[in-house]
Amino acid sequence: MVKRYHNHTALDGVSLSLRPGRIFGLLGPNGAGKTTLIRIINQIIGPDSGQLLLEGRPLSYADTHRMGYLPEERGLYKKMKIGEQALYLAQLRGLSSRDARQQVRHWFTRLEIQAWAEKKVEELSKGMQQKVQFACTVLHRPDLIILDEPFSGFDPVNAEVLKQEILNLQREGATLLFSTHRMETVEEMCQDVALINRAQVVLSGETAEIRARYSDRSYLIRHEGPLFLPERGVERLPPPANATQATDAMPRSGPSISTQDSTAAEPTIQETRVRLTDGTLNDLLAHCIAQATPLHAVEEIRPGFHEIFIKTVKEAQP
Amino acid sequence: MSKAGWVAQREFMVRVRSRQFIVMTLLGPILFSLMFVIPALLARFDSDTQTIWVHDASGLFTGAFTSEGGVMFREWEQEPAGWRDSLKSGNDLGFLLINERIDLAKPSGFRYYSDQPPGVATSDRITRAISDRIQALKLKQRGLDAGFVDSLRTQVDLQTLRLTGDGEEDSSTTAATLVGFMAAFIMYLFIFLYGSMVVRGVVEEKASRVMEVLVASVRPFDLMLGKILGIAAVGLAQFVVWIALTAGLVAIAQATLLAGAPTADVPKEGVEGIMAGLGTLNLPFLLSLFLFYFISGYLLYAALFAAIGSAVDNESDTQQLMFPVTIPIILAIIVAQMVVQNPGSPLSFWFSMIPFTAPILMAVRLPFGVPAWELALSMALMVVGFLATTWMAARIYRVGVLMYGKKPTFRELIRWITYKV
Repeated sequence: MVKRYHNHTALDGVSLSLRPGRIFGLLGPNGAGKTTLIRIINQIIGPDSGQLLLEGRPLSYADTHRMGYLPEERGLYKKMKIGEQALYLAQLRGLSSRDARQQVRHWFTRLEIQAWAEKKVEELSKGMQQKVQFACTVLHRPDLIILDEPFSGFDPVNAEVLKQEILNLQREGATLLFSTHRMETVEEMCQDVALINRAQVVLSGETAEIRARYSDRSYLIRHEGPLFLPERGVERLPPPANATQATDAMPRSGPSISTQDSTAAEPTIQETRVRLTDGTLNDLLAHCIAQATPLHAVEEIRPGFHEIFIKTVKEAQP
Repeated sequence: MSKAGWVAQREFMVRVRSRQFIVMTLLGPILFSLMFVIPALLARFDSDTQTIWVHDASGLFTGAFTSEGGVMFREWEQEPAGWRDSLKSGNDLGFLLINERIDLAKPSGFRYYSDQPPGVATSDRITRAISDRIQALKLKQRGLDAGFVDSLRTQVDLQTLRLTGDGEEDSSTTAATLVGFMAAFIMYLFIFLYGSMVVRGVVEEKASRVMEVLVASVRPFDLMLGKILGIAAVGLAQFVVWIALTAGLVAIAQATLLAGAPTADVPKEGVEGIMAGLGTLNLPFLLSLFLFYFISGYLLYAALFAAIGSAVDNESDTQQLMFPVTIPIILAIIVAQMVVQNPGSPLSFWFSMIPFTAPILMAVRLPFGVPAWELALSMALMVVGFLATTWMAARIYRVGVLMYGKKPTFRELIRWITYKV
């Protein structure tokens, strides 16, 4: 895709591929071109050059019936009852009146907003409006669901509901693409990601593969008593500045807070962070095992998307 | 149903069910029928006649002032000095004092006193009565009979006939003027009333940001078309209800409240003349042409209004952009007054060819009869005109609906037409 505006280029040769049944995360700083790309996929605007293919053939306007779209700027008719509104939007997405009615009932029940169906949007809380909007996005059972910043504006409880619904939709066979600034969401939910910066894709691939690629061979060793590191090939890393950063970096690595933690009951357990500059993990482990110091655990410190994101974007800066 | 159809249906249903619409639709006929009923009622109950006292010292004007229409002239026989107190009694309008010596060659010495300045009608009546009497006196001096002079003022009934291919047919200028102006006014009202509804509708969708969801499911052109057609249906429904209810209310009022009362102040012959004149017009033909200009004119302007609505983020910004669009409509109403004077003039011709002014100008001209080729050309231009403006408006619209932020200038709007989206 190439898309140029009056005085700037929004997309400069962006190419992406989504695989069916997976969740694709679209990352990028503000103004990188994410929304432009999302609008092009939704056929709201057209590219200057480039082509959209769905199942190998060019995307047509009729395909919008198979797509659902939740824009970043949420909005519904303020003075229309939410039930009628959802019905209308479903009909615009090609559902017959009967199917639309049935789907509205199904989704309103599923999202626990059925009791408010006769209320107008302006009478509802923000969180409730978000739920209605999400229902409107998916009630025509789209195969491809595009969500622009889906979690913005949701409180933690509703964000969890939304997350579960997204995973349910995936389980039911839908393909999802969403843009987000929340990196932990990417790590938890997306199988594939692309990072757009300054109108270009600077990073793309499977989430796990990218994290592995960005692994800088750093390890965390838990041990009891002093541990002596080899003199060559290993660099000692400073402990993380604060606990939050540690969670950010390793959301799945369990409680790995700091030396003075719940493990304080066994005060001798210590954490050492190292990075291999030469040699293999085996060499390091052999060196450690040779010492009398009891080892408790050794695990890889994988960089989080937060770091990958910042690193990639900063590198791209001139 | 096509997408534009769904959109139109929503526009219609939401508006027709709104409280505002129901109130307006019911209130309108009540106000309209009051406009008919109140003058008639007033004429009926306004039995309080007011008095103008006349003190004629010259004695020349006895019987010159005739009492009618609620104003009575009475002679003041006492000393003129006492009139001031007499004026205080509520029903006395004023006091006319005529000097003892009146020079017929240079009449002066007429004074009218009142605590409020007299209306134009009153002062006209007094001066006319005086000048009529002076004229009669002058004639008498020369030995001529006033009745003979009256008979000189002959009332000529000009029968207006229009030459057509089939021969000649009656035409009534009064009826044509009336019908033409009414149609032009209704067209003007319709374009403004429902055109601004289109603007508000588009702005609402933009301001509430539902637009982005809509344009992901509906092509902007279908969205615009659906809105314009839906609102047209609202307007037609409202007009039909207005006309039916007003007619009904007036009929009921005439049967009950005004039974036996003379209908307002239009003289009977006038009404009959107009009714007879209406008979000379080919009404079904006229109505179908009106309908054509009505619909094409609305479509033309509604598309432009939609484009304007798409360009701004909130309603208060629409005024400035709407102004250039409304100029032709206002111009048309002004020109219409001249066209009535001379329906066949070059001015009439050109303004009824320009699609922006044609709906209103043709409405005025049609009852007078328009040459077939002019009509055909005007209608063809009208179709070309609304297709062209709709195309232009749609191109502005599709850019505008996604633009937020700075309010564009009119020139920028024109530039949007060439944008690729």
